[in-house]
Amino acid sequence: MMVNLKRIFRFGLQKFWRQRNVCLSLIFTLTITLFAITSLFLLQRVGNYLIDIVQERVDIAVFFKKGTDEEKIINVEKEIKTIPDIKSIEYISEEEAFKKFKEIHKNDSYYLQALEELGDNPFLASLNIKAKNFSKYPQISNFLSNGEYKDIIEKISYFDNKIIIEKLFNFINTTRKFILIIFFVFSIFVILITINTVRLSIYSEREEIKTMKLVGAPASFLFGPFLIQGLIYILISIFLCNIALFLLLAYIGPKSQEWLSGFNLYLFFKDNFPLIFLEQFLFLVLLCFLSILFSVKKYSKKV
Amino acid sequence: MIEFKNVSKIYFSGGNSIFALKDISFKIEKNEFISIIGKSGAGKTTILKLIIAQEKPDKGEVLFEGTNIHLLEPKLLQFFRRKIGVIYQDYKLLSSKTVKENVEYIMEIIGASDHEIKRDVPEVLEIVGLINKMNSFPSELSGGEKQRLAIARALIHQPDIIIADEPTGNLDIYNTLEIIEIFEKIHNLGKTVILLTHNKEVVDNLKRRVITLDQGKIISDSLEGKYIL
Repeated sequence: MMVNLKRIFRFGLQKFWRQRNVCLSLIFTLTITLFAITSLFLLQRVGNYLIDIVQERVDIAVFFKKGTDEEKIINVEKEIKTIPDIKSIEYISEEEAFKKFKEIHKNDSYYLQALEELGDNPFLASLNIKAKNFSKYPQISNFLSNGEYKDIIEKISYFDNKIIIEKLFNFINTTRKFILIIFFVFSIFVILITINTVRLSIYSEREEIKTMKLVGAPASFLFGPFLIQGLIYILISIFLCNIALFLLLAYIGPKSQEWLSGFNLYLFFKDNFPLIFLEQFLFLVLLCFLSILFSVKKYSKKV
Repeated sequence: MIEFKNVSKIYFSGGNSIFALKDISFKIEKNEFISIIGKSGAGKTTILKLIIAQEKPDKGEVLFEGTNIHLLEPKLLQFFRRKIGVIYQDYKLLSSKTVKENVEYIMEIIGASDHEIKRDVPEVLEIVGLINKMNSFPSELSGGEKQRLAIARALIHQPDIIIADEPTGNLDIYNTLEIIEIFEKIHNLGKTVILLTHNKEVVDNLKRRVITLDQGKIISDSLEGKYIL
């Protein structure tokens, strides 16, 4: 067993070394494929990050009638928390709202004077609700406006901004779908190119595969050397692709932070490198090994 | 050892069917030295392809020690092929491997130890006169050298059966006699040798069993035959 493994490894290394000139095109294709897929992955992450930022800025505020008992508001808060996909709820009492307003406008005598003239605290207690998903906001608003708490609720901000929120929701959904479609189409494109390049390189060795089969080579001796050779290509391609990505992202990283609302592509790539490396490796192993197995099987099947 | 039972093989070309073999039956016993002769297209190479299961018969069966070769599981078929040493008319050498590696490959797939490989390969290359070319690639060899390499590869693991398809086609008379002498030596070691040829001198000098094929049919099978075509 060990002797056979050693021989298969030797055959693989030998094939790689002797075909090193021919194999440059395959390594180049694999590197480009990987570069394209990793770039698409990074773009998808950037897209999701920007969408999350937009989503983060949207919330709905529920204002309660003047003098509503705090205990009742806490009960509303508890019930809303039972709705799935609620990200956060913040309770702001009438006094806190008053303090916050004064704090924000402490240098603005016009507002402070207006407050003084009113004499009383004009602010209402409120709950600021953030959902994980835009689609939850209509459900929350309907739950509050039609439920047992409707009598203590003065206003729900969602209804004022309903059209804008829905437009934003549609835009985000469309953008997400678009990013996914782009990712999918480009992935299919580069995957097909890679499969065909691998198949072509094995096609040139079809007579050798047939001869090996005719002289009685077991399956491990037929497939093994190709898989070892493929593994070397994969590791070289990953190395070249990541060197290029590191250099490129190190250059555009600080700039990307300005363009992309604080998202530093270089730091993201560096922090997630072990995971990205693993995904790149598994992706290429799956792609190349399946192409190799299908092609070698195809040519060895004929004898 | 090997038995053809009512075997027919048809090839299709351009909408026409061509009979490569027509209902042929014969037996080759263990330790026989047999020549199968015939003109080009008589069906000699088809017999070789059927024995090593490179092709399947359209009718009949090919048996090896009572087992239908064409019904063997893929793993067993590969095991069976390792028992046969074949010298192909078109050599079928591994172009990406050197002379030495071509021969070593056979030893490696049968699981021979590194020690056995180091001991046997130079010896066989010495016999076929390729010891000085052991690091050359097949593309750097002449036709005769390729043929001798194919012979070395077929003999290295001392298989039970040697099948040689026109093994002397690219050799001069001196080398031809030398190669036939090697086959006789192997035969004397208790191996079965099947020679597919249209070399009259070789067949006549051997004075062994000869099966004569013509247009896919056996027209004679004599124990001490001569080249009659």
